[in-house]
Amino acid sequence: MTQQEKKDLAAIQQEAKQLFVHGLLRFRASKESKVQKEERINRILAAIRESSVPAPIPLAKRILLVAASVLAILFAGKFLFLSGDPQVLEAELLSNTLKKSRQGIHYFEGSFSAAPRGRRIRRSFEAYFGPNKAFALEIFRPFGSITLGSDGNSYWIRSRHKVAIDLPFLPKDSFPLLGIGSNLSYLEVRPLLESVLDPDSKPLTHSFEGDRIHIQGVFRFPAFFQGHPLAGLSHSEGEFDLWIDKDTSLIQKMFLRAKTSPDPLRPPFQLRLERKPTPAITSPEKIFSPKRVYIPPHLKAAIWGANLLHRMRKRRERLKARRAFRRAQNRR
Amino acid sequence: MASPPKPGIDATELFEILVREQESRLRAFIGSMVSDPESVNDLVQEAFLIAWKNLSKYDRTLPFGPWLRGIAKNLARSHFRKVQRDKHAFPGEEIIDHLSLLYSSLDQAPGDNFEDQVKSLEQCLEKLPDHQRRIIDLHYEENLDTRQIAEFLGRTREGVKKILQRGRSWLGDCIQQRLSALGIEPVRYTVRGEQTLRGEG
Repeated sequence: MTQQEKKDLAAIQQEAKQLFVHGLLRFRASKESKVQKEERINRILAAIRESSVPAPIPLAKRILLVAASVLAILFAGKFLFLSGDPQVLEAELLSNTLKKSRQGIHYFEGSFSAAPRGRRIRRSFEAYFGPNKAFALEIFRPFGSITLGSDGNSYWIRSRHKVAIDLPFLPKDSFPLLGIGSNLSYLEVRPLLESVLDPDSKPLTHSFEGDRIHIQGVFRFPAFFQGHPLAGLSHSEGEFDLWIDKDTSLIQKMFLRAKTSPDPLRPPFQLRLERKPTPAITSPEKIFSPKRVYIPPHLKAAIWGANLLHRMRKRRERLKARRAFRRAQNRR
Repeated sequence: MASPPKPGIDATELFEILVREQESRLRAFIGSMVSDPESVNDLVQEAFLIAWKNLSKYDRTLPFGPWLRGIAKNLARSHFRKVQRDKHAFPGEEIIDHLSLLYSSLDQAPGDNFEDQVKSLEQCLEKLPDHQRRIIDLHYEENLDTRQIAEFLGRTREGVKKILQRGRSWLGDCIQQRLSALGIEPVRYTVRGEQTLRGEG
């Protein structure tokens, strides 16, 4: 870029900035009431509805229009319809909601149920979602709660004794810590929520329920979730029900489930979320990045080693049980 | 549960949500260029109407806001040609494109709605030096033009214009810094041309 071009660009940016602040200051000064805003929006909507209903056209004009349309089909080979496509709008609404879910702090209460290896699990939890993929999930277990979280860079876990430790040496998509791994790996609710709001998910129907819009559709489970044996998924696709606030585009409620499993002993994975008023937060740091107890590297290695041995022992036990089962069957 | 889309579903209801989401920010965007409030309202309405009629052309992989602002930009250009009969009053393509980028960066700011997102302006205004704040308040809140402010404060009109310009510039930098602190940056792009702000009478 030449010196002159740089100057020109700086002048353009300066001018745009002036207009930007000018617009914001005018908007701030407009101070209109909610009623006035509502009236204006209603006028826009009325104009849109009016435009959707074609006005009666005089006969002569109609003949001309039909002739023109026939010619257009003959020459152009296609006829362009100008109309609102609900699926485009639903997708736009979901993308807005996704954007909103990544801003600010959101608080939900929820529960999930799954049946890994025929063992039914149901847990309730509280979830905070913050900006930059930060989250904190407090999972209520029979012997006390465990909190799993991330500040967007690293993961941490807090025991029922309120001691938090970093999880730096673990792969992002699994939490195979001794004794707690089985419940945590699929409790990263945020990736699930984002996969519902992903442009690839298919909103199929919608309806209005008061101030909320209710969207139903199908979505694809995140890759790490599909592969996890504990999630017990028989399909990679799931179904979702989403309730979004009409005015703020924020998720109010979500219910998602894996597609029905043919095995009655393995009911499909289900997850429910419901937005609750965000409790007063003095410092987001405390929620998403609590003070962690320092664990020296050799101790981390020892935990990792113990975990590996534990998993190997479990695997050996499983194989042994399977062999014994086969032998018993053969004898019969 | 999920069934195929119903034929003839009322898409206007869905569009209503987008109207509610975008109306304020579009009004601010058009208000950046067009001074007459009635014309701003008309242009906002027209922009939504055109967006509605051309929804089949909208690329769903892109955000809706910039597309809508693109429509509004074309409408504003026509408005300057028709109503003001002076094509030079239009600030210029490159400036408006950059303006749209600034609004896009504001779209990413935290907040449930546009009113929440412009709160950074409020925080910046609080830090503005008193003499600039006073003139900005007189111009925008009391709706006085630069001549009236100059008479009221016993300053020259040029002096008032300069202070307004510096105040806006400072506020613009302050908002951008706040957005940058949140990791939100406007996309840089290269353009040619030079324009000045108009409509300060």
